Amino acid sequence: MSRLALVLSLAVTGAVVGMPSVADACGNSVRRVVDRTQEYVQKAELLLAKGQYKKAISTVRDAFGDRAIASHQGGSGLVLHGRAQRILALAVARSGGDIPIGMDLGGAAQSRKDAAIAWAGLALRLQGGVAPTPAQTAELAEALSRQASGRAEAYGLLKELGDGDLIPNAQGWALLAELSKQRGDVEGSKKAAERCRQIGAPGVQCDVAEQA
Amino acid sequence: MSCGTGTEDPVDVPPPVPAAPVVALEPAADPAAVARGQALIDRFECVRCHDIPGREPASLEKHCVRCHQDILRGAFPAPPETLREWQGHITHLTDVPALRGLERLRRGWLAAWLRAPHDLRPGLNSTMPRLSLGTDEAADLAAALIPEPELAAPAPGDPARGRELLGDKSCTLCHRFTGVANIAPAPKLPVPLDEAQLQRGLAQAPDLRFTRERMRPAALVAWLLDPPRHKPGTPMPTIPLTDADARAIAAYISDATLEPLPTPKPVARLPILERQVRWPEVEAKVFKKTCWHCHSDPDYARGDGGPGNSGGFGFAPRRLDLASYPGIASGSVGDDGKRRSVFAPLPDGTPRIIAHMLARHLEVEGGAPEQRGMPLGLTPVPLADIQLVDTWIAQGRPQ
Ligand code: HEC
Ligand code: HEC
Ligand code: HEC
Ligand code: HEC
Repeated sequence: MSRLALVLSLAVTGAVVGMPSVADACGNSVRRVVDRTQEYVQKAELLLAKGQYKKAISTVRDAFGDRAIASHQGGSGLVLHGRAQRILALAVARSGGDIPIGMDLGGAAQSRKDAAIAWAGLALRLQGGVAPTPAQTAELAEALSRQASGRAEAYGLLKELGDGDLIPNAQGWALLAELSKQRGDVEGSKKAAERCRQIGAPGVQCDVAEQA
Repeated sequence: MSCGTGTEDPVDVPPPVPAAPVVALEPAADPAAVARGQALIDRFECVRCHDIPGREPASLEKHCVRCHQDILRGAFPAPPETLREWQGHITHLTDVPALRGLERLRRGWLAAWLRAPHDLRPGLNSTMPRLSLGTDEAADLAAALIPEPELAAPAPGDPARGRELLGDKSCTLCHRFTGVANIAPAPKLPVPLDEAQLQRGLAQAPDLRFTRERMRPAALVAWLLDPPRHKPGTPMPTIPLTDADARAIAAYISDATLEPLPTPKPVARLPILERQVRWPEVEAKVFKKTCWHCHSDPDYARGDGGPGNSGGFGFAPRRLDLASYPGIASGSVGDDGKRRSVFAPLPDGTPRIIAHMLARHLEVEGGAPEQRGMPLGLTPVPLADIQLVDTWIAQGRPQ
């Protein structure tokens, strides 16, 4: 717990060296030309999408070290830092906190897992700010659902998105199916699992395990 | 406009006025309207596409035309192989008319056209976008762009001679004149033009069908005699004409009987396909081809996700990101400020995003449909590609 408190205080005070800014044109076109940090982040995003959490984390760490864990401290590179932090947070949530990400967060010990997952939820919540996009909301729900204390909130967030057909990916539907089932909403669970199957994302398990 | 708009078209268009001297001349614009219009030019960011005298052009990162031109000329700072790749993709917003010498146009026409713009220049594949303009705002913009009073027209010339001259002077090499019998241009232009001048002329020459609605009659004659005097830098060359020639051509352009425009083709959704359509296919054929240049994730674009995401051209931010699967699935922000799915069916059962793409076909056919056409002001997405998106939606949007 004191470890977590340390990290949270870093999230407010930690100094982060400015990153070169991402030059861009007309949306995304020019971005790939410009900066190396950029390449690392992009690579890590692909690894995350493929479920290679360990590699995604080490790629972010190669470029940022511990800086991706603390909050961004002004200057340029805000967006890139945010993307790096998101990768760490999601890799933590999806791997259950098994993989160390730095600053004693994540690892085999239960306390490290818990600390990492608590950090991931906090980081994603801060990133979403006051008007999170559905993608940010669904990702926050993923992290929250990893803590017993976060399940109810995760369900509420996903249920609202799902009712508007705004869950942005198969993982989100699978999680809603699971959380609905846990609450005894069998119909809702079936529907969400069906949406998950329609999307047919490779590597996403849509069927809810047969247990309470 | 004159091109067969449907009955639902809300815009009042003044009927075409014959070039007879009895017509009341437009007075100088009301200075208060001019002042309001000047402020609207800022609000609607007209300088992101047009040069406007006395105004700073938009910065390079915001300028939809200059950046494309720089890339095509090879003057944009990027590695050569990247430039070559981009050059192969950019076809839209490579040239637009400068808003100079606009006192040649009728203020009344401009106000109506701004609300429901139709294509004027067949050689440009981009059109003036349909902005979110009220009647008063359009009138104020027209006042700011055309504050000058109209001058009295000279005596009309001989239209039959005018028709001959349009061919003899090779005018119809550059200009279309839809609605009159074809006029073959003389093979050689009366003035020498280099290839670049000719290409620009071909791209920017207006269809003369609309000139009678657009141009003030006195200005039309004056224009024909010396275009650059009225619009410095215009791609229309000065072709030597006598005063009588110019009045004859003006008479034919203004009075020739016009065939009605072809009735708008109905725009119908194609049936849902049997085969499976997944995200990579619709992404490559539709969303990453055109849409994401205005609808991207601000986090990947220096905080500006383009006019269709972060807002621009006077539009409020819709926060619609068409650059990725989670982006498109995250929907857009409706007028009530709430997120909504772009796949949700409208009352007639058409998914919203499909309706916007079909609306662009309707706009090009001359209509002003309720949904704003997408891609905004650009070439419509082919119906067969809309069908792919429709099929993908019907199949539950497989990734
Ligand atoms: C996204 C780019 C874009 C923006 C923004 C834009 N325009 Fe245009 N505009 C065009 C294009 C392209 C044309 C040429 C259309 C044609 O000839 O069919 C055009 C044509 C015009 C013309 C006709 C000029 C002529 O010589 O025929 C006027 C007037 C005009 N625009 C005014 C405006 C005003 C006023 C604004 C701001 C409220 C504005 N435009 C914003 C792209 C743009
Ligand atoms: C800083 C430079 C830059 C600016 C500013 C810019 N673009 Fe582009 N645009 C590009 C590049 C580069 C490409 C080609 C991208 C590729 O090939 O991947 C492109 C391609 C496009 C395309 C797809 C190709 C085509 O012609 O259909 C569209 C549409 C487009 N831009 C629209 C816009 C609009 C609208 C604006 C203004 C809001 C704009 N662009 C501003 C650089 C720019
Ligand atoms: C090299 C191509 C070219 C040739 C040849 C040419 N024009 Fe043009 N013309 C243009 C272009 C381009 C414009 C639009 C200029 C601008 O907006 O800056 C134009 C504009 C006009 C306009 C104004 C139309 C409107 O609706 O705004 C008229 C009228 C016109 N030309 C008549 C003629 C006549 C008559 C001739 C032959 C004597 C002729 N043009 C020859 C390219 C050409
Ligand atoms: C030139 C810029 C531009 C391009 C290119 C463009 N859009 Fe848009 N789009 C906009 C703007 C601006 C708005 C906001 C219009 C409004 O508020 O009425 C918008 C709005 C939309 C909306 C409505 C969102 C809502 O909730 O009202 C949809 C759907 C949409 N675009 C789809 C597309 C698709 C699909 C494409 C590609 C085929 C595309 N757009 C290409 C600028 C563009």
